[in-house]
Amino acid sequence: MTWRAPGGIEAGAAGQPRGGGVGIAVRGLVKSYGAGAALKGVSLDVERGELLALLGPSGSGKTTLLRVIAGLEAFDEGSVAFDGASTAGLSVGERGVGFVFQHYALFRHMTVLDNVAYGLRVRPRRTRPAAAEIRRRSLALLDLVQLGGLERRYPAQLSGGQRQRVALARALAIEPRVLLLDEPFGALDARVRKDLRRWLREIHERTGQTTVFVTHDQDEAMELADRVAILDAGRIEQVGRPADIYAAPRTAFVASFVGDPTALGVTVAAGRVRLGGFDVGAAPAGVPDGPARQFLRPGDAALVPAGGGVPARVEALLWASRGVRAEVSVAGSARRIEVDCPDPAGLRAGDAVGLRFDHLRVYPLG
Amino acid sequence: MSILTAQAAVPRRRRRAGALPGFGPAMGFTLFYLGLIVLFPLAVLAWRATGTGAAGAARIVTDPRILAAFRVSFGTAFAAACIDTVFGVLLAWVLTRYRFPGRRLLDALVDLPFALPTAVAGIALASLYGPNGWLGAPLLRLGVRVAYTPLGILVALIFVGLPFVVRSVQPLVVDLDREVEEASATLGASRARTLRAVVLPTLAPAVLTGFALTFARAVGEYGSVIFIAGNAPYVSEILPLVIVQRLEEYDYAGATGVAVAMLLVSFAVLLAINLVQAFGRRRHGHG
Repeated sequence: MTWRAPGGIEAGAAGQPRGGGVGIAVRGLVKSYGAGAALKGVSLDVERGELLALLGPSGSGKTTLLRVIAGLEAFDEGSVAFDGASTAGLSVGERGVGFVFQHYALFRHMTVLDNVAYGLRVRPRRTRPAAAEIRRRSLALLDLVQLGGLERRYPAQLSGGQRQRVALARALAIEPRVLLLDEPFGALDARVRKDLRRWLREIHERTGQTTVFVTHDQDEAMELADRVAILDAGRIEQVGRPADIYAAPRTAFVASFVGDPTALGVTVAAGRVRLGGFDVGAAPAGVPDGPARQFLRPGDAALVPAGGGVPARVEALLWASRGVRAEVSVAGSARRIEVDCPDPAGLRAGDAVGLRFDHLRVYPLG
Repeated sequence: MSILTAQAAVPRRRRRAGALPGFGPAMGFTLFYLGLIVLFPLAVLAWRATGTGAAGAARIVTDPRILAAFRVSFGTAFAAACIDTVFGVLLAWVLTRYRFPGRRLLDALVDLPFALPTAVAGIALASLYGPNGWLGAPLLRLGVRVAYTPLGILVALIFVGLPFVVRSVQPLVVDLDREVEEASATLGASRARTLRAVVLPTLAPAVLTGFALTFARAVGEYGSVIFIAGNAPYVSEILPLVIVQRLEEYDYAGATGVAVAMLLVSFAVLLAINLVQAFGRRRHGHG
């Protein structure tokens, strides 16, 4: 796909094959104090042209990492390089990062067009395009983000989704080396989030821009990103393609974070997993005997007629767009378990059923 | 009229009150209060001034001594407002943006010119800037005479006007969105450019308000000025002093005439500033 940037210049790595070298190289980042969460030795490679998601709970350091990459935040140790060149000593403006903020951070006293044109207008005279050229490029970018015709509006006259698209156009206008988005859809309602997600994916396919975005929404990360980096407490827990992370969480934290699981306290004895006195199956290889945690995703178990599996009791049926789930309780476990329930007919709260464990994700404690 | 007739035609559907009632009593009280406290005295003033007649009014506005006082009063007030605006914005910025020891104390000090009786301020400034004062003596050796000149008036007006700008601008500096400045920086703008293109336009309405308040206060200032001004006719005589002099000569008509002329000029200036603000608000699509 050879999409050309509005300026007639190849935007970012457009036209290049994916994975053409390392776009952003982060090495051993340590940040112990300051405004944001701490980082405790973060290393990460973002391929050129890749769309990578930083996923983690709040306080995990994902936004801090993004801001360090942008140069908006200082750090104690480590290095950040773009396209193999160190960013040390470069000011925020010299790095060529397009940054999109959660709350848009638009210049509200400027029109949409002036917002988008800002990055080109503040260039020194030598590198600044002519006024007519700036206008042409800005209008073309507004078309790209599907806001053609709104260039004379002020940000206050736009919806949240429109404002975020202006912010993206403004960031793209400087033809950044990397595009960084900090929870770009966090302030929008669910429907708009979903539309913009799909739309961002399309824009990325057209521009091939090396992109990192921060989110706490795993659906957003999994659906949008080429690769996902999961952070917890200032460390990267796992980096990989969404399918790989989903299929094989490397650590207990990742297992607890993806797939909406119920965490259950179990014991492993002689290679068998026991839940409240019931044997639920063979323990995965490498899990030592002793107390352990099992992360049960709603699809990992099934309801069977009473008498089979582990005795359980239906507490409630939950209808949602993703399908029906049953909330069941098991003797010996305080936690209620959410299980997919594809055939809820005839089932009601209070029924005695059996729970058959099909897939065990067990991690040693600690 | 149309509201009245609409009410008459559909008596049940009166003005929609909205979820939060209170417009009626609030508006009524506002009008009553504004009328009693502001408009009524001003009306009396205007009525007293009519005693001078058209010829009297012409005599007042063409009296060279009064014209000179007009220039001194409005000139120094304008200059003081300009200077206070620059330094007041800077002070508000430093007090809100940075954390340093003694910040709260400094913040409290800003209000002191408010609280101080203006005569106290005037006497303090006069002795400080007088020919034998701590600042006046060295300045005099440099050839700068502050006390008993328009420069002295300016110093006094700057002193009493400073809190207005600081206190008008401070809340907006607190509310400034840091991310907007960061966005400007990532887009390649220098710090100076960010301040000029992004920060100042956001602060502009409050800066204008502070300017207007300082200016209004400076035009009417009396106590702190007369001690340091020297009050030389045609040179360092301010309008409020001219009015007081007229009153002491039992020339009530003359005093009110000058007062009304002064009031009209002040009102015109404040109205102009308000219009500029309203224009700005409309343009920026908020408010």
